[in-house]
Amino acid sequence: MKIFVSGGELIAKGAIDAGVRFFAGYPITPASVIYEPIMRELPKVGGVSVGASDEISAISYCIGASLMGIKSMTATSGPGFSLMIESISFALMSEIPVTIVLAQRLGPATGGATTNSQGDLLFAAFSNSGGYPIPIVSPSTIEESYEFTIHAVNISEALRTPTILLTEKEVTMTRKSVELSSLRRPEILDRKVYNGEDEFKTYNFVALEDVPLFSPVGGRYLTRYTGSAHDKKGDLKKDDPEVIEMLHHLKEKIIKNIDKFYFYEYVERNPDILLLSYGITSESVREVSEEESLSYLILKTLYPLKEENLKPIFERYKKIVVVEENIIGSLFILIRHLLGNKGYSLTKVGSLIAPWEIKRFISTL
Amino acid sequence: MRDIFEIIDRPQNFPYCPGCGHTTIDMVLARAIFELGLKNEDFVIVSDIGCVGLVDKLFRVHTVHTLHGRSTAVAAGIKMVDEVLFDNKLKVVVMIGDGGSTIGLLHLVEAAKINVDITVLIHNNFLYGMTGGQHSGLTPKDFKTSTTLNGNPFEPLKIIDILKNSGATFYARTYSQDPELKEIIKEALLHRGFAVVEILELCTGYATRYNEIKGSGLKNMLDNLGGKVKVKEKKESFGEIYKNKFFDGKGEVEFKGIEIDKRVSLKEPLKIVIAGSAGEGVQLAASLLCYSSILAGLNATQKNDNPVTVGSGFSVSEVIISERNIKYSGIEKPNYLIITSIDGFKRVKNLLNLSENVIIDETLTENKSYFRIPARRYLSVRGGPNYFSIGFLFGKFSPFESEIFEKAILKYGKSKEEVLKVFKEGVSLGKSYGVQSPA
Ligand code: SF4
Repeated sequence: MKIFVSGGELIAKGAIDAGVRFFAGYPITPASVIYEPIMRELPKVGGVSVGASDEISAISYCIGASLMGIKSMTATSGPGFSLMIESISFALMSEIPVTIVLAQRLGPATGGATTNSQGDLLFAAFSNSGGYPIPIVSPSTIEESYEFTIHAVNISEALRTPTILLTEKEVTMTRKSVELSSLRRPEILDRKVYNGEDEFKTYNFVALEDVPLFSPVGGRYLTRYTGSAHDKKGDLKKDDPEVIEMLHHLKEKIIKNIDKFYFYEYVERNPDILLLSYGITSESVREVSEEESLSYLILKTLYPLKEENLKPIFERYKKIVVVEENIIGSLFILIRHLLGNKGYSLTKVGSLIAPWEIKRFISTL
Repeated sequence: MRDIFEIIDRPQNFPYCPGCGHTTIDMVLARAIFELGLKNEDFVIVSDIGCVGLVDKLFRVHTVHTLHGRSTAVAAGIKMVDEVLFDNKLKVVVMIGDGGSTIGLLHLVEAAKINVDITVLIHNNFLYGMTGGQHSGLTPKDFKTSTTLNGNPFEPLKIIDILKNSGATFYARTYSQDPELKEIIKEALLHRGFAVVEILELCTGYATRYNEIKGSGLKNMLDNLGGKVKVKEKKESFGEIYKNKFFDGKGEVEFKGIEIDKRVSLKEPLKIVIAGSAGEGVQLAASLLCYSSILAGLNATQKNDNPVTVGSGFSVSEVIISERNIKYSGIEKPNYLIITSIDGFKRVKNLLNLSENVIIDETLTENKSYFRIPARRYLSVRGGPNYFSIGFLFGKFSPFESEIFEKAILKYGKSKEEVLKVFKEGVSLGKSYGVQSPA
């Protein structure tokens, strides 16, 4: 059975299937296509979906809802994401799960609302004050926007962290015939809740990478959430060893646990050239790879990256071409130190990178 | 009492300066909560930034210490869920200063507008205490602060008036020494809907440094703002409105699948660009082309392009139809370029030389190498020029049976009968040109 859908509709469906029961958003192209389906469908499954008066309200509502133990999501594009980042830092510091769909469009500023772009990877990866890691996953096809929405929600719940689903206009707004049975549905993960008899600590952990057990605001254990420097109990503190430990915990929790959520697609064909890409550009890379029998690697977990996974792959090739639709070569910059003198950056802005453009680039190497 | 308040019996342990109005308000709030006899677990204090945000440790209730100005919005999110999805028993109290109310004004206005069931206590001490006594939007005229050393030249925002006009259903303005403060807070907590209490108070750290003012002067300042106020109205709260208007709470989200009608084969993918004017049904016609392809057992993609205003200027749809899965969805060289209006013509001019076949309204060009057809004659039917042109494409080039497109019109189209008629006329014109198999 086939359906004819946009990536935006698949994201809405993925969110609902992942267990999201609260959505708040402020409209912006090309994320707006997610709104209508989720506004319409969420109340039917016993959820709440609201339009907010701005992006800061939208993510703040989500954070409030998540504090109640409800899986929450918002969706925006670059300009709206710019407004949200203080609150994303807050969710990171106070370990509140929330999923942010970032549907990229041409930037900077209001840029081009209906023009595709992949310019926000570095912006998203380093979007919090302090420089702590925030997981980013990205669908590489329209179909995968369903699966990766579920992954994003899973990560945010399992690791008690804000998580970004990085996608783009050509995924959210392009409609495609999709075989319904081909949609992959990952196992749904829920946040682990505290149920003990000891005194509850909002940020309790033993090993640095442990994810503290959650308890909702209004639940039977008194909770103390805060975005300021704090100890395990949630008390405001500054010059305390436990605070420094807490900061290391925020990093280790993501770096050590991303293994379970490290997604990529690697096809080995030709030992000379490896094409490396993400997002919708991956589709052009796949076409070229098939036609020219080239190897390719598509990254679907974009941050944090696992160097121990990338290095041995890179070692096998003479040339590595990073293909991405932005001005500066964002992914290239992120991994440049792993490429040595084998790395080549193919970038473009303003429209999709066509397969023939990749072929032309390779022919000049 | 000790149950609610951690250090009630040790005021010296308060984190505030001696004589700070926050101490008074915290103690009154603790008494109010205690006297209401509710469980600690049913209270959530959502605190803002500034000295007011040091409140968390004092109370044995749930606490959330948020960002500057955002406390109201986080509290609203908590309460939206509690009102609609849970049993609506939480008392959510926002502790915010005049600074937080300035930077987060929109959140306060929105919370009042939607009447979400939270209680906001605005601690108005006329300045930013924590950062060194700067003025805020609520600083009174002529009041001296570290950033208005000669006195504030502007009138303050009258926050209660703003929120009253935003739809607040409980609003009060008073000062920290008001003997009725506790009763007012109790009333606010019991109110079903958005409740806000502005409490004038003194920052002994900074207000007294720059101004000749004592606690007893607060009453005067209250009078300058219009005096003490307490109003209560009845209106549906956010949760009641949401449950009545939106909430369904049953049903499952399912995609509507498309059954394959007849499987046809297609040697090479077809790339079709339809360019016309916004408001003339280009995108719907293109999507019917996709639906018909899916009915024919094929795959399809549709990319739309239009100016930000969807109802004016050009509208372009790019459709790829293929037997195989479509990966790259861009079109550089269309097999068929359909142009139905001057807006569309201007937009895709650069494609004219790249396209194998151009099907174009006859009024738009004299070029004899294009298929010039009277598409705009069908403008009276919504999407008419597009359906006529697509009909022509089916008649002349027969990518698959035109009956499958007719089925798509009947299943997924609008103004079905009229559209069907226009499409069929396009098909017969196309056939009269001599049927040609697809490129
Ligand atoms: S600086 Fe002002 S507001 Fe802050 S604690 Fe001292 S008196 Fe209170």
